[in-house]
Amino acid sequence: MSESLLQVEELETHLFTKEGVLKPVNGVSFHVDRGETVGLVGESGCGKTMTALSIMGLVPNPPGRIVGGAIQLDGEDLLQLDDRTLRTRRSVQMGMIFQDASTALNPTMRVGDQIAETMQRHMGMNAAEAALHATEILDRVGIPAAEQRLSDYPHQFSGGMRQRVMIAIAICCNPELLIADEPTTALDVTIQAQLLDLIRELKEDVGKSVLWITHDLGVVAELCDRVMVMYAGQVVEEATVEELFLRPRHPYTAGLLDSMPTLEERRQESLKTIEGMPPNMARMPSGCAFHPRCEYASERCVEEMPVLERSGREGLVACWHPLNIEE
Amino acid sequence: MLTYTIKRVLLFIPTIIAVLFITFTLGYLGPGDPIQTQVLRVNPRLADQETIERLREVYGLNRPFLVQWGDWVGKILRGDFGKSFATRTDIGPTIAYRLPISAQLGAAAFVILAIGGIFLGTLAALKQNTWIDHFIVGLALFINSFPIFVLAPLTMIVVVLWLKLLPSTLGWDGIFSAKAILPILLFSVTGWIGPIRLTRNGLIEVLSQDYVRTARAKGLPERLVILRHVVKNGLISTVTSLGLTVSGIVTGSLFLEAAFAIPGYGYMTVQGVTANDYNIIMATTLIGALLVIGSNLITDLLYGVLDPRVRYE
Repeated sequence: MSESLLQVEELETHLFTKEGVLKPVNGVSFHVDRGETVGLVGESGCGKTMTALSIMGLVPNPPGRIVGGAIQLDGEDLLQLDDRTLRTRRSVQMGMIFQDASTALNPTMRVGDQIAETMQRHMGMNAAEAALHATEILDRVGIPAAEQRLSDYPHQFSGGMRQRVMIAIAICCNPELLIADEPTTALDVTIQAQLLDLIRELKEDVGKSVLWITHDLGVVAELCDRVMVMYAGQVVEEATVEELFLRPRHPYTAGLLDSMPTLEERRQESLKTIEGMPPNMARMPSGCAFHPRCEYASERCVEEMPVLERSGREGLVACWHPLNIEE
Repeated sequence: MLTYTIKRVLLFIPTIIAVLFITFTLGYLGPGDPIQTQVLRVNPRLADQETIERLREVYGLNRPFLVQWGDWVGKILRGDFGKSFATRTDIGPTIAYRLPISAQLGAAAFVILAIGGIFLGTLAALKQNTWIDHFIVGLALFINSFPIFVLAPLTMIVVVLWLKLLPSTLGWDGIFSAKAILPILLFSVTGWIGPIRLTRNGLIEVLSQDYVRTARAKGLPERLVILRHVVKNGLISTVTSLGLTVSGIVTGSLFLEAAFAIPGYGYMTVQGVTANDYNIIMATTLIGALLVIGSNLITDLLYGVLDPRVRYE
């Protein structure tokens, strides 16, 4: 257990709303090893972002609260830390890249200051040192004329450049773990490719661990070593990227892969989808949360919730009727 | 920022010309003939057509509209606001004596209004939906729902006559006298609801913004998150609205100064209006309008300072 940088155990984050208790993170366990890039995949609203926010200690409260589990980062349980100590772990041990840089940057603060304030806080730099360092970081994330751009405001940057600034803020204190929450979703494909290259470069330079949250399986294939698939607040499958794409075990994973358009498919064929909708968090189905949409569902799936278990040589799956199991 | 400032200041000029024109037109077209009013007041028996015509000529009121306007603007630019019909004294020096009184009163009220309003609004936002929040907003709304001409005598009765906390509050002994306390407080507290509500809503909106989460994700202490990231962004609308409360202070001074018998600009306006004192009405209207335009200009410039997105447009 100690060689994992991040070890999440039975994490439960609940939202206490007027409609009842919602469980966007409902017993999630996974780990990220040092130097590893792990993908966390799932549809919108399946609890990916809430998982990330739980790790960062940023669950919006009210209505959210972490009610159970453990989050070990570098052997230290983050959930046992008081707020003040937890703050000193942010940026230094874990940095987060948010989804939409156009709203995640302060519109009335110079970009240089937004990077520098982080380093001043955590690395004991004075303003001049921090500004110098901020220039280096902006340069490193590929922003041309970095020195001049320090005094620009976010609205003077393009979408892709803004996301680079966001990355600069996340990496400026050299965190061990980088959490990226769909950082390329709002950008067009060419910019997306550039940013994926940038992340890969940065990772190769420093050998950091990355938790990459996305709904885009293409990005996962491109970037990740290992993948977790989340559905309705739970991890339903975990495998290496290769395994997952070649031999998906969970019917939901198989459905996700099936619904990716491929070049070979004939144009007339409509895009495949998974039947039905993700469950309403307030009214979760009994048993396996996926059973109402699953073509393999049986009595047992309705009654009993499957647990995440080892399947085959590598990988875990939470399903009573896993696919592609060869003995 | 420089181009922005120049643009704003240049826009100021046509507005002033428009104000000069509209003020004069309103006076020109307004009900009541100033000569007739005056003649009737002095000696009704003299109110024959001939005298009136002669007086018209003396005051230059028989000339074409635009000529009169040009003449009036020219005089005002030289600081000559004409004579009061009632007292036959120059209006310029009267204003020079009275306006500073109102300015002190207004400035003191504005400071309390702004600082108190922002402070209470911030408190309400940070304690959102607790009893503190409800108490602040509720009380400010309650006070605001009384018109000032009801509240002024009411507080005078309670504070001066019943509780005997203050000596008589009528008149003016300077801004640092006991007499100034009640009018200043009334002035600011009745206006609190504006900045309180805008500050509260502005901060609450900003508190849920993604960039505040980013600031927290950086590991900044909550104090810095609030001061650097929340307050500056959340107060933009408050600052904008504070410029607009200046017009409220200008109009509010009419009632307040009359109620407290403060010999300021507002009292002068009320006296001028009730006496149909043509020159005083135009002078006070013009000054009121200029104060409002001036504060709007300052607001615009402040807006540019606070929000870089405005500056670069």
